[in-house]
Amino acid sequence: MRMLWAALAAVTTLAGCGTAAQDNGLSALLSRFQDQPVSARFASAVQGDAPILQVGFVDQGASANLRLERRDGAFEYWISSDGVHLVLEDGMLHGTRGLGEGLLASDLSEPLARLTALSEGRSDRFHTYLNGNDEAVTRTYRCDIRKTREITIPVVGGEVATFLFRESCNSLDQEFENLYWVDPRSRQIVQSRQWAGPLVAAISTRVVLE
Amino acid sequence: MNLGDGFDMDKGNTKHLGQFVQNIKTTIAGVLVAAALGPGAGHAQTLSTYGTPGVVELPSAESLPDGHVALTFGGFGNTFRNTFTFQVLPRVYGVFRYSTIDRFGVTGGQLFDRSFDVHYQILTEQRNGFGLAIGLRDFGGTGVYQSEYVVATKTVAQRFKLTSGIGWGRLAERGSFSNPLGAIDSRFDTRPGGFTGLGGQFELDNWFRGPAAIFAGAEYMVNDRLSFQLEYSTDAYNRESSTGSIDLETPFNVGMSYKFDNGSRLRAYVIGGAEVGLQYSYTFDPARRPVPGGLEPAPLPIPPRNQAILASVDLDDPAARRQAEALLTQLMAEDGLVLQGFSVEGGHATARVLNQRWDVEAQAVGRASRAMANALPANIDVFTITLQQNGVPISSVTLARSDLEELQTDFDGAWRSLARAQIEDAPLDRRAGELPEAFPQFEYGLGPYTAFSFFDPDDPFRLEVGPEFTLAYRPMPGLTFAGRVRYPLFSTIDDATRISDSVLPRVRTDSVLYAQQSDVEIAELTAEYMFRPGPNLFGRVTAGYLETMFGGVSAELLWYPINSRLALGAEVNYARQRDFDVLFGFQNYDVITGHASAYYDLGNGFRAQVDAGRYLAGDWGATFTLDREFNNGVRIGGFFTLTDVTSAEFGEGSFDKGIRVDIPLSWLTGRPSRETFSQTIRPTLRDGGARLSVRNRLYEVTRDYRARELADGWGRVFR
Repeated sequence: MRMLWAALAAVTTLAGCGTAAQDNGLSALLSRFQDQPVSARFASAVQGDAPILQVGFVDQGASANLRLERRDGAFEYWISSDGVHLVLEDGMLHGTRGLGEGLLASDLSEPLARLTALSEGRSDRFHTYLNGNDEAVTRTYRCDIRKTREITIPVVGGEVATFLFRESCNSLDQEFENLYWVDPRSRQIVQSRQWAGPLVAAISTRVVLE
Repeated sequence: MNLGDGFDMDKGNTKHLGQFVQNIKTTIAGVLVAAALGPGAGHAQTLSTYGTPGVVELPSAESLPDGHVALTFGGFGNTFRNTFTFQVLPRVYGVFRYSTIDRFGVTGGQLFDRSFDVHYQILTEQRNGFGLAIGLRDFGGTGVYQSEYVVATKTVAQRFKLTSGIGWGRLAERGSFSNPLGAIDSRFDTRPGGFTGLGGQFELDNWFRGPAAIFAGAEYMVNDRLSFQLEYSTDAYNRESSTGSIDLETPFNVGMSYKFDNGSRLRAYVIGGAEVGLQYSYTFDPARRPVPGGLEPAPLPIPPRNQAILASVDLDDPAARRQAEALLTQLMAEDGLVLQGFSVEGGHATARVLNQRWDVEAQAVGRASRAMANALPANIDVFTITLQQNGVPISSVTLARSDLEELQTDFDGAWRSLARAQIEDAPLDRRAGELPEAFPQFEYGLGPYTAFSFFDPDDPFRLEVGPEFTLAYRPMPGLTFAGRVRYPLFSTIDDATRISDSVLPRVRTDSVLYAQQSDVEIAELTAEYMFRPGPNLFGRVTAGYLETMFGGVSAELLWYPINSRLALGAEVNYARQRDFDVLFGFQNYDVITGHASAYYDLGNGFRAQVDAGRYLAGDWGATFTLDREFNNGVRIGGFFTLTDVTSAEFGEGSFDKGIRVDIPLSWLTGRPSRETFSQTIRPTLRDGGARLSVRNRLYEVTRDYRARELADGWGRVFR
């Protein structure tokens, strides 16, 4: 048996050598346990002093500063150092990439209209997930948005007076609750806690004032 | 309001953030692996000692959830059983089992037994009814476990499951009575018994014949995790008892089962008041990737076209054109794609792309189109991505730039984009727009390899591990010189002492001699030319050392219309047996072999294949293959080959058959990779029905790029 381990050790040191397009399965499996390099796109966003979004993964108890990679109208693409994207639409979580969670895209027109109008009431939202069998599956959630209170919160670069909105959503088999701290003057979501999906659960975001 | 975690307030401190996210991703992956591998709700069955839904040893009228796989390992006394159960269809499961029984039969030796079962659910249990099923245990093989049953199961008060049925064969060794089927035909009254010849045949003459007996069992589920089982078994272990290797005191068996969070189960049981056994089983759903969304780096967002990097350059200007090619090459390289050709006609740009990273071709198309949208001038409205393999164009996907811009954030973007995409057979001209640096192409790789040998009675699991060096040189599209050299650093395969007793030309059964007499092996050394003889046609000619045991020349033609479920192929080979040292020499045996093949996508993830022709030993016949392929690439299939070789000439097992499992590496890791773990398991590897192994058979090369497979993967186009 010792021979086997010696042989395995010897061959695994070879893992990942070469230029071949299709590297060996075993070496690719081993590379999973190696650290991922810092994304060049993230590095260039840092270099360009791109805006920062503070992001927390509530269930996992971890946090990270993401950088703005691109802004197209309402959509913002925030990138992490290892190349994960959070896609926000006017501050509301629209999609994820590279996070394990398969949130492809969402239709958030109703809840966004509520928050922009600082109004309460019913709103529906649609999330499309990539499932484990590579199928895009759209789920509909029936939500209720309520303004709970007015609160001033600290953010990097100062304090902001906000309205705190609570969005309670249900589908036949899932339910979640999102919180939004909205600046009533700019109507911007300054801070939030939003449900990404069954895998990652809640993600918190907080803007960094420039 | 507490957000649940502290923010890192230091604006400048971004150094370690990647690790945070990395840790999260690792945790998520771990949690999800456990969750995804758990069985679905409402199917919380206990698996019997035969690895199928049941009581202790008896079968019940239940199934696994559709598509699920259960692996069971366990034993008691002199018996050990390893079982692979696959729920092929919602109502049908199939089983492959490898068992060892010590001191079996008159000679008292150890028995190694491979058996297959099949089970059909006639009725699924409803609120006011019961479940009913019919099954065959060990319907081929040597018949040690041969039995048939009809069984009913009813759940009572949610916590009790009652099972009762009638059994034949081994399930009628106790309390038997004359066969009620004898009323239909007196032939059912007697069971011929035993098995014919060398095993492995369908023993139709025995099924449901001879005495029958009634068995019964009950299960009590304490909660979701813990359950107890009690049964009256009609299997008396007659043959084992006759040698004294087992001595049962009662017809009753009892068991206790505990289910863990990850879906695995541990079970302890007592057979006949005498034998204590332990069993571990693991059930998972191949249709659920442990990490559904993947952990690959996010794609480049698609910018408005006036913000593309080269938004306002004129591609008619040669310098600008070269700049565009260089930029596209770079952007695609970051996504594991090689730009091999680029051409522009008016507002329509075409990129020829080799995908080296993504196992789902639709995702490669999405990444390539994003690179084009980020790079190319605003006046380019339409993108065509031609997917190439070995420099040969296979399929083309055409997308409108405006659709990409619009649909990347559309909640129904994947489906809408597929509806608007044009998927066509690739143009036959291989070199239009070819980049000067695309060829020659040179690749090498150094990594470990593993090889396995199963079911040698002296050691049922043998393995070989060592380094492998691969080399490929492609001077022009389609022409490839490739080599694979390996060195077995550690091997138990060459410890085997059994010498082939085959009466056929020893085209496969000399494998031990190859393992023993080789040192550094030239596993492959070939020149291969792949080409497009016409629309929807593919051709291949390969010459050299084709595989470890044979060298020669192989020619293949495949007809595969872009949107078709059906593909037809033909292959002719001249093969000569290589020397046992796996170097340059040849032995005297040579053969003309080849097949006509039909491949058919049945839909719902099923695929059938028939190959008819002449095999390596010169025998004529056909191979029938049925695969269930999940959309994520996991594939489980079975095959058998019938040729004009008699079962006596074939030897143990009577004819060639086996199962095949493919699991993409990305399924396991969540990271993109074109690697797949593949394993074919045959109860016995003999010389009849043996097919030459040639790399790059055209159907496997082209299939992922054809329209049906591209469409199946389209959910990943915007990943």
